[in-house]
Amino acid sequence: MIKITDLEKFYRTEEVETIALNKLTMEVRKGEFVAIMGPSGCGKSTLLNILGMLDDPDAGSYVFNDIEVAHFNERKRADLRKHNIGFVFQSFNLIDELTVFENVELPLIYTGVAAADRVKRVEPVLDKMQIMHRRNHYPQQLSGGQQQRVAIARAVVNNPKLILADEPTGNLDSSNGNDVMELLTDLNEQGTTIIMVTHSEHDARYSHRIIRLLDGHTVMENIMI
Amino acid sequence: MILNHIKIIWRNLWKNKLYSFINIGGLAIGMAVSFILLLYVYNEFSFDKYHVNDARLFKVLINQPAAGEVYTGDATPLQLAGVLQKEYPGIEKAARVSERTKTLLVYNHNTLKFPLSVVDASFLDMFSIDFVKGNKHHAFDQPASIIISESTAKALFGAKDPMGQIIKYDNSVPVKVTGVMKELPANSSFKFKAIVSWAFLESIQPGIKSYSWGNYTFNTYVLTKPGINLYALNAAIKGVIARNDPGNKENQMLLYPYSDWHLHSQFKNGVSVGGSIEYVRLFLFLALGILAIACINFMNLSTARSEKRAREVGVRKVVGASRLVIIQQFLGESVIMALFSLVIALILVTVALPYFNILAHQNLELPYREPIMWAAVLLLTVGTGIVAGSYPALFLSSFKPVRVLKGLTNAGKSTLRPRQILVIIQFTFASCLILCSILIYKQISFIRDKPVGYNQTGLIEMEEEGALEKSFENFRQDAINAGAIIEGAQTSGSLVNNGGNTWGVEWRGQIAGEEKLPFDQIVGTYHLSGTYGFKVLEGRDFSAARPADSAAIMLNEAAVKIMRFKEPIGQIVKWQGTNRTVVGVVNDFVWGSPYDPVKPAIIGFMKGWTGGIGLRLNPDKSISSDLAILQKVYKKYNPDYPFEYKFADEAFASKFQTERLLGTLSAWFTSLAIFISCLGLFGLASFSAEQRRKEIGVRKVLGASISHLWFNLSKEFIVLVIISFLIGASISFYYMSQWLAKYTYHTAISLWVFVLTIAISMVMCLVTVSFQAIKAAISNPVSSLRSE
Repeated sequence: MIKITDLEKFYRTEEVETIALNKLTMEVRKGEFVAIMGPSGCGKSTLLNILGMLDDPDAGSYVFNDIEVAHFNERKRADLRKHNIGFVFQSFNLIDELTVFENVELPLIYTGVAAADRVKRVEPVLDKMQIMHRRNHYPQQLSGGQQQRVAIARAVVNNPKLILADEPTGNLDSSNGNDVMELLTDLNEQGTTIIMVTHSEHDARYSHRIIRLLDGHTVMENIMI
Repeated sequence: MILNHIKIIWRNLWKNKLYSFINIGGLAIGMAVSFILLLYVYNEFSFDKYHVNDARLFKVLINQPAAGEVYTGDATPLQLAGVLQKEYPGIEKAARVSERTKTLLVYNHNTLKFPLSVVDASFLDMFSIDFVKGNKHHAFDQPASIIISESTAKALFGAKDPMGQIIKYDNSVPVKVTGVMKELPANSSFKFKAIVSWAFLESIQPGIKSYSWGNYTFNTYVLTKPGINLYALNAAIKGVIARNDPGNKENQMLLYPYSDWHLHSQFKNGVSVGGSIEYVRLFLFLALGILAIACINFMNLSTARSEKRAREVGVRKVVGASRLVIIQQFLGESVIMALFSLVIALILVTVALPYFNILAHQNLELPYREPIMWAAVLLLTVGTGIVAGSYPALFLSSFKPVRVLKGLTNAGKSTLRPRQILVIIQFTFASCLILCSILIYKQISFIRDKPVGYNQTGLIEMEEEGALEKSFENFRQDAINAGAIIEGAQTSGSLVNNGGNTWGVEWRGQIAGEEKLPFDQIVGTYHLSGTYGFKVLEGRDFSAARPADSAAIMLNEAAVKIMRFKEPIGQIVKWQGTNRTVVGVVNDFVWGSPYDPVKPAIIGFMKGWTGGIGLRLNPDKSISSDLAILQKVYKKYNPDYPFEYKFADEAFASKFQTERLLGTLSAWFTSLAIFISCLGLFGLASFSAEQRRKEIGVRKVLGASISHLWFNLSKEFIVLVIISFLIGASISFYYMSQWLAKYTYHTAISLWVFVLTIAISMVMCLVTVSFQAIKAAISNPVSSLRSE
């Protein structure tokens, strides 16, 4: 599903050039659950952003579903992204002014789903995430665990083929964190590919495979059994 | 998607009440102010355009060359209309109009005064006068006819049918009501509420027929045939005066578009150089400027808030929104806010318009029923929304989602420069307005405080009506004996307002060509100097004890100077066709425009040419008791006439009406502009303080005092105000020098005006900014540091 070869990314300020990704090569197959680990600054978030087409690489190749996307412009990337990829962030990134229902509905609006269909598609997802009873609440009125469940609901409502999770449990206590990991595992078992960046060895154990990064390239891969 | 946007907009507004209040309120006030001004401008432009024949209606003007200059006036000879209509095929109709002061109309015991005009019957065919009753084409078949307006009919007859009723014109001549017309619209230059025909005037004043070609008294209007070339026609009629009145052959006639006269009535050397159009342009500029200030506020506040919205933009982009969608969202948001402001603005206009009408002596109404107005207003509002929202929309939509979601944004900083420029534009405009307002006030008080050369306090003027012309001396004596007045005199007209002049004055030692010099003329009888209180510098006032004085004149100093008299007393001057002896010289008192130097004037004695009365009230009694006694004496002589008078000082003050209006309006709009600008500044300061919370916290922990922090936060705004002042002061210095140069007597642009302007801007800025600065400075640093 994903194949990246010799991927490079630099960050430049006026005086310093930092190498975030250094000739990184990796592959993720359809249906996999991959965890990316590594110390701060090793490039794992950069990698996730490039995989999510939020950022573009400086060199190298990125093939998504047999399409080379490394040189796509912003509009093409946005189009590919909204139909194929869902995001889950550490800080949830819900819109405070929208209710739970409206937050989850948002991706459907941008892909042009009609209002009646949107209700039909949002409600089962809310139900699955066990936040149906909170559908008319605003994010500030929810606990962290509930907020992350809303965020996951938003990520999956469009039936993406790939979910990118950036430390999804980082702002949660262990019990809520475990719930979130269970949800991701369920999604994976139903066929969604998941790539997750995490600091937590505990969370990483939910995955099939751990890719460890250091200074912008892969240093080790563990296959989980 | 739209519903989603509206939802978010509404919740955003509700959540940030202060911001919404400042933003919507500021825009609403700006819109309301500019709507009122635009309404005024529209009304001015629509003046006199309601006549169906507008494009073919012309006013006859005469260019009179004298002493190297050309004077342009709209007073024309009586015979002109007839000659034009008869001799020029391009002219379909011509009409004379004589606008009278208020005329007494009496029905039974109902005695009321109405503004009245005397017109040729053709006038009714040329101008759009709408009849409610009667036949327009036969209303003036009989000379003793009168056409009255609906309100006049109601005032005189109540519910009774006015048609065919007999009214006593000027309480003496019976005239029959042959027509009732609709009221003239407010944007009409004609103000009459009743009209009588020229034939009627000739029947009661037969002498008028023998007025010479050289007597320029009445207005003449012309209706051309369709498709006539104005240049060709003007070339053809240019010499009409030379042919009929060879003595004044240098005077040239021209046709001027009737509806242009209202805004373009100022002529220099025979060419139109503007008029009230300048004020209209100024108000248009004000309207757009204030709207711009409000738009700038809107942009400033929206971009300042961008940091808070950045995350929202990021999230939306991540879940699939394209840049276009984000732009649409923010544009839509500002358009909806603008529409919201529009609703408030319309309410404000409805509430404020009556006050504006009083302030500006206008009669403006919101044209609710005009679809055009709604279209214009909506267009303006949506346009305002798009302009105001364009910058934040483009700016916010350019955010890279990765950066904003990771909190890497330094959006606040990067918007500082454009925002600073916008604040400078706002405050430049405000400084301009402050400076101009101060200078306009300074100029008005400069002119007002200039000595007028006679005593206006306790002086009243009235028209010489009814029995007063014949029995003035008895009336005067009675009023003095009763203790109401101490002196009184007859004049040709109000000394405060009249501006009659003459030429053809001859004197010994005159140089050829000087007989064309214009002289102001006042006709008076005895007691003039005693009543008005001007000074007789040489010789004496007219005296009843000297019968020869009935052929005497007095000169003012300017006249003595222009005639180069070393010994003015006893000189013979030919005035109004007869030789007169100069018996006195009076000081140069202001008679015409207070803005111009006093012109040479002749005060001539001429019984029977009087029309006004001046009375000096008894200073030993209160004004109200003087007037009460005077009214009793007056009623003894004129029982049927209402007792009407004008205070000279008040009448004089009305000469500054335009300038005073300008002063009042600019003061109001300056205050509003400052208010709106300060609203914006307040918003910006609060965002600036919020952005620098951490910096302030760190500084405080390191030992900065509150005053130090206050200075630190206010500094950036003070610098902006100083820059704005420098730009604004240069612009207004340039334009105000030009404006002042139009007045022969004008005030100086003194240094203190600039000092005051910058002081006002600084104080307003500091007061606005300090609230936020001090609030930030005294806050607990622990809370702001923990939030990072």
